[in-house]
Order: sequence, then structure tokens, then C-alpha cells
Amino acid sequence: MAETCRQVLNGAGVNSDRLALEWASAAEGPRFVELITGYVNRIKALGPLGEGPSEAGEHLERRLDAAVKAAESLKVRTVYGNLAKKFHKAGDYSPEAISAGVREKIYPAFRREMLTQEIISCVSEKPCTLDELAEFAGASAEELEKITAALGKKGILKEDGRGWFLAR
Amino acid sequence: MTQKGFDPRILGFFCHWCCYAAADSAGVSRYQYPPNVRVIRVMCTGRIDVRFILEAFKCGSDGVFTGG
Repeated sequence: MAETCRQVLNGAGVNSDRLALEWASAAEGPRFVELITGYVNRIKALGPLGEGPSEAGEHLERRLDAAVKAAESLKVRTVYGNLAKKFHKAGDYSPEAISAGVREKIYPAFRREMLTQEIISCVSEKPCTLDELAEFAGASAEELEKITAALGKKGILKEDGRGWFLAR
Repeated sequence: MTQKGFDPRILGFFCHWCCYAAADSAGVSRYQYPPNVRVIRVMCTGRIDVRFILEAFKCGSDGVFTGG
């Protein structure tokens, strides 16, 4: 779960150091204080959300919105469940195996869903060409071409001389 | 790049049995710690989903601390 979050946050343009996962038992008050103090100082050093180096800035809210919608989608959920089953079967829960599994299975599905959401939100305002979509979503035109073609097949999008638009 | 006056808003997901109790005991023993964390208590860290964390960042929190 944490690894998925880290990779998705990095993909959406958020420094994944902003997410912390720590353990403190009920008896470890002093350790908890140490953890929280260290963490708050780390965030203070990173600065406000979206302003750190390699962070997406103005696009961030839209990207994260797409990520939230992608996290809800059935496709991503299915991939997530299947990967969990695979780990259970192999009995290998090492960080390397989890990281590789997420990179190969969950992240591509997540990215595809995110781009789908971005394309739909872009074309719902006005018809867009593939290049405009690529600039909007921050992805390559080749990557988007497959997704728009799939959406076209499903009858969600249509294409004419001006580009792609939402079919009603 | 520490900014003057930057007061981060951090969302904390704390397990009821571990981190939440630790935070409580730290408070009772009067340890000082930064007040930037807004706490959401969950009954178990396993309840937390990818969506919760993404939503927290979408709503503008500067960091998410998950304590199990």
C-alpha cells in the first residue's frame, strides 16, 4: 500500500518523502515524540505542497484529483487484489519484490486510469487534438493515442477534424 | 529551504491501539511536540487505503503521517 502510494505520488508530481509510515507502540510515548518532531522538521524543509523541487506546482490539484479517481476505479482495484494474491502464493513479501510488483503491475494500470481521467476532463471543456491533450496531461502523444483509441471504441469519445470530443 | 513562518499542515492517521495511545501517553507525560499534526484515529492501520492518502494530498495537506 505504502509503495503504491509512493510511486503514484511521484508520478503525480509530489515528493514521496511527504508520506511517512512509522510504528510506535502504546508504551513508546518518547519515541512517538521523536518521530513526529523529525517528521515535521522534514516537511518544513520540503516547504509547502507543490513548491519543492520536482513537484508539479499548478497542475498538482488536477493530477491528484485524477489519481483519486483512478484509485477508485475497478480496474486498478482488480490489479491490486491480483497482485496481493500473487504475493500470498509466492510467500515473498520482501521490499524488493513488492516494489517490483507495484512498478510492473499497479503503476501502469494507475497511470492509464489517471490519463483517462485527465483526457475526459480536458475534452469535456472543448475538443482537443492529441498534442493539446499531451500538453495538458504531461504525457507523450503515443501513450495517449492508445487510450483515446480505446475510449473511442467504447463510444465515450469521438474524433473529427478538430480533434477529440466527448460523445453525448 | 526552510521558509520563515511556514506552518505545515500535516494529516496523521493513527492506529487506535498503538500510535494514538502513544500520542496520548506522550501528552500525559507532558512531552513537547509540534502541534502541526491533525489526527484521524482509525481502528487499525490496515484500514487505510491508497485513496485516503491521495485525497489528503488533494485537499492540500503538506504531508501525511501514518502511525501504526
